[in-house]
Amino acid sequence: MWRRLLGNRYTIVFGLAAAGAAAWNLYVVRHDQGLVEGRVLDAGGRPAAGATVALYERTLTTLEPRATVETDGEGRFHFAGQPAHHFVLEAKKPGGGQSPRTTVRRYFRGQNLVLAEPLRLAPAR
Amino acid sequence: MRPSRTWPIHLALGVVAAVMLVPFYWVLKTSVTGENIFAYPPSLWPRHPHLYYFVDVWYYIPFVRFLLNSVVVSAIVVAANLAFNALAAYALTQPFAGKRGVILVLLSSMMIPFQATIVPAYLITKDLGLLNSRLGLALPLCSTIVNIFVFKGSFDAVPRSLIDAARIDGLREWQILWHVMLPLSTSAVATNVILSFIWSWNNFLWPLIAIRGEEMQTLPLGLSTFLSYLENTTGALYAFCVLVLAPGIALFLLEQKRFVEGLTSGATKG
Repeated sequence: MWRRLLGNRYTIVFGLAAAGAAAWNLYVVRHDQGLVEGRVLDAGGRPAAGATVALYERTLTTLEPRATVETDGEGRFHFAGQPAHHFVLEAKKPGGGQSPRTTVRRYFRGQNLVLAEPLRLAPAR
Repeated sequence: MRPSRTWPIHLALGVVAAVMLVPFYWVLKTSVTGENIFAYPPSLWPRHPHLYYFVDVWYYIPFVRFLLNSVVVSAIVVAANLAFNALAAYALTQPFAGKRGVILVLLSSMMIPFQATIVPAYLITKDLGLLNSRLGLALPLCSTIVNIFVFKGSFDAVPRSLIDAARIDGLREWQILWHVMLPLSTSAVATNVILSFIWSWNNFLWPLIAIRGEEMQTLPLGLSTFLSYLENTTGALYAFCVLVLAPGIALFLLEQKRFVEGLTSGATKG
């Protein structure tokens, strides 16, 4: 009886789907603090201290400004509690130019993220 | 036929099957690449595939609510179809005065398109106070004539002696239906489940008319709403299509053998 029930294709398909959903939700709960970390480099490739990094959430129609932070002495920045799953980052430094807008995507809201590529400032033309 | 002679047939069938699957493949490919369908030259293989468009669909619109509405409405439709169609089909297997006339009326009704009956359907639903509700969405599909005849074809194939034996054993009519007819008609049950589910799941026109607020929208209606938000949503739009299509395809694949059996049972005799 039990063997037949467990071997049923509905049990297998829906069981696997439920197990996958449970595992995914468990992963989400443990990684959804909304952290976004990265670095800003100046035009010479050196860390850009004191640059302002702005985070804009991409909605269906527009870019909504959400937060700004300043980089530390090593050019690192750190956002916390940012839930947007699709957003744009832009760095600016007075006299140091600004970076192109970088689109970032997440697989779920608030996914903790460390940017692989730094934002690079380019002198204003 | 010897196996060595079947390969050309299998090859031809394989090619036809591949051609039939191209639209599904294209939808799936676009959902993970976002490539515009008019891109030239078209690429057969996905370039830089990712799943972010599915994430967009999940968050940009109330997808979970649409999904829940579709699931609830489809569940009501499937349950109602099984109950009402089995009862109607069982009645049609019994001899009674005017049976031919009833069958004729039912068959004739199949020729009337839903668009022609949508105004009375709307008025009845309104009078029952079921507009803008899940039950109201399910109401017009609660019994379908095609599915009644699927059951009838299957019930007709059950030997008369079996029903007579059940009556002699003291079973009532509903008990005969439940304990004898339905267990012997699993293919018809599967066909009823699949057809009613797919019709309800894909239904667009009736929800468009019967639903006013976003909170009761089903997936096909949500898809059209999504389209109206933004033009440049190719990837997300196709991802939405994949999510809408997936449950129906999954159900069909799980029950395809019985589905085909159910449609063909009664088509041949002997």
